[in-house]
Amino acid sequence: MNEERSESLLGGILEGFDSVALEAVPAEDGGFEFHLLGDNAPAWFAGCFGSESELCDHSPFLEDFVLGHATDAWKNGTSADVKSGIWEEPGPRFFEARALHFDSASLLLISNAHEAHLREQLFNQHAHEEALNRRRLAKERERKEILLDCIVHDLASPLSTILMNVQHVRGRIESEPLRKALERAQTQAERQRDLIYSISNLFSTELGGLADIHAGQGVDAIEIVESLIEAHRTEADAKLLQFRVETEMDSVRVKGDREHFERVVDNLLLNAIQHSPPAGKVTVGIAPVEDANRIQIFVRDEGPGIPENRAEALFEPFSPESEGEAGLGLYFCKMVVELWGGSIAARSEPFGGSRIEIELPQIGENGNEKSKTDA
Amino acid sequence: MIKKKVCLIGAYAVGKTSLVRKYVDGIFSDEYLTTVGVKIDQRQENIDGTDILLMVWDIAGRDEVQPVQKSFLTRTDAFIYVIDGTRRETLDAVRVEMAEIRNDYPDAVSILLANKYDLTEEWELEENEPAFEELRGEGLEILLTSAKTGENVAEAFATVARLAVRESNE
Ligand SMILES: Nc1nc2c(ncn2[C@@H]2O[C@H](COP(=O)(O)OP(=O)(O)O)[C@@H](O)[C@H]2O)c(=O)[nH]1
Ligand SMILES: [Mg+2]
Repeated sequence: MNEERSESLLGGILEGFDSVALEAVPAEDGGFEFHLLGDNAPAWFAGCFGSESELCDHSPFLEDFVLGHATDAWKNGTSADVKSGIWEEPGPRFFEARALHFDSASLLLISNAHEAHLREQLFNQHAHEEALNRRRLAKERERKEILLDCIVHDLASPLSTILMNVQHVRGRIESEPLRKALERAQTQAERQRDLIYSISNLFSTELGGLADIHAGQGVDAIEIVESLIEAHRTEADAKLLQFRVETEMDSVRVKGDREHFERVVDNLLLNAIQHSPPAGKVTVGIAPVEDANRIQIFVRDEGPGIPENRAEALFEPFSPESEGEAGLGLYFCKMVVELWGGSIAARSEPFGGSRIEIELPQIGENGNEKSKTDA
Repeated sequence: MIKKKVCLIGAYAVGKTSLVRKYVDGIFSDEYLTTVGVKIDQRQENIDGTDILLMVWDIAGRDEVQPVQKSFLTRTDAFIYVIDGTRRETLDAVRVEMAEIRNDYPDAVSILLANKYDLTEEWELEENEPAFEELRGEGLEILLTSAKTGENVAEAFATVARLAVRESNE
């Protein structure tokens, strides 16, 4: 093979690899002089590195590489091969260099590393963002749990004092009606304390802890809705609110256990009462969802409604939207309902007011979740 | 002119690239673009009448899958260790790295920057961080910085330049 032909083959190979090859020849000043091999260098070579004699002046990275690892490799002889790793030149453009010692020649190979950079960048970017995100979520959760602990503690500890004092006074009161009144106060205070502890248990163990909520035979949704409306009558009267139950069924069983289902409905009613204008109407509807063996229960108020993009935020813990009930009420509803395989959603009504609806699996007479076939 | 090679070392996303960007271009961006490989920037400092050119090497931070490419570190005059004050684990990670580097480059000077100091709400280091006391005891200078507000950024690089010049005069 003649020299001209091998020159041109080398040129072809280098072009194929988008690389330039230079021979490093020791210079008088202890540095190196570089001579390009092959005929035509790619356009980026002149753009980024000037000419073969200016290489190190143009690129501080190459200068460092040449004076460091490359010199070591060339001095070392014996078919050394040292890689520089990817570096960035203005542009930005990305390159990789190799120092080779071959057949008593010292060679410097510079390759365009655009593709390699892109690949690695994409991969690392993704991995790092994921990791940062995971960390952020974990931190958020921890913060909320600490906050919940504080809330629970602040709510529960005054109650202990109240209870102690009520008991103390009760024993010393002669009047029967007054003693009865104190007894009622005590019962309510105890109930509240238990509730606080069960909330704290529920939330501190997160969803895992909820898994053992006993959904059993399900609950009678209509009976519970009606009894809770009764329980809220006084508050409603104070605001001149009207309650209305919309349903064509006499009774219907949905998935859930009584304690938690009551609290879900309770939260929905409280939320509606809170957001209703005076003399407004609160409607509770219960109806089967077509073709789904699910029951929808909705609570509608005539309040200000929900801005469209905030409907999701309503169910986040401590969001400004879910005010009242320490901001946990609707978050609690969502957690519990979803655990039972149901769903919860909120939206504004076309003519004002808001509507929160939950859907739960219906439970058949046999105590099992209804499937399509026994509908 | 005297040139000094300065390398930034620290976990990914602690703000190495942002610190360099602020120092060299005066710009900060909230966007995060993971660095691959290395990029060299330069800026001149004047220490007691002497001009020195800082060659600042912004190196891809180490992560769970890959270590810092050691070949980038040869002949470094100064190391700037960077941690993210809102991610405590970046402090533990950098101490491991620091121990290795001190061993490999005993003559290089170094400082430690606790970055993102603007994020006080999320700050995870203590007021009198015991680890800092310990490191200061070993003679390490520590600065609280923010690439976002620029707090202590110029000071950090000037400190490094001063230490590097002092070291080479000895
Ligand atoms: N708030 C704040 N964010 C910062 C600061 N420094 C960096 N960041 C952000 O942190 C992320 C990672 O920064 P970057 O400089 O790419 O980190 P590197 O991987 O160490 O180079 C980016 O989103 C930056 O905007 C800072 O001082 N304050
Ligand atoms: Mg970076």
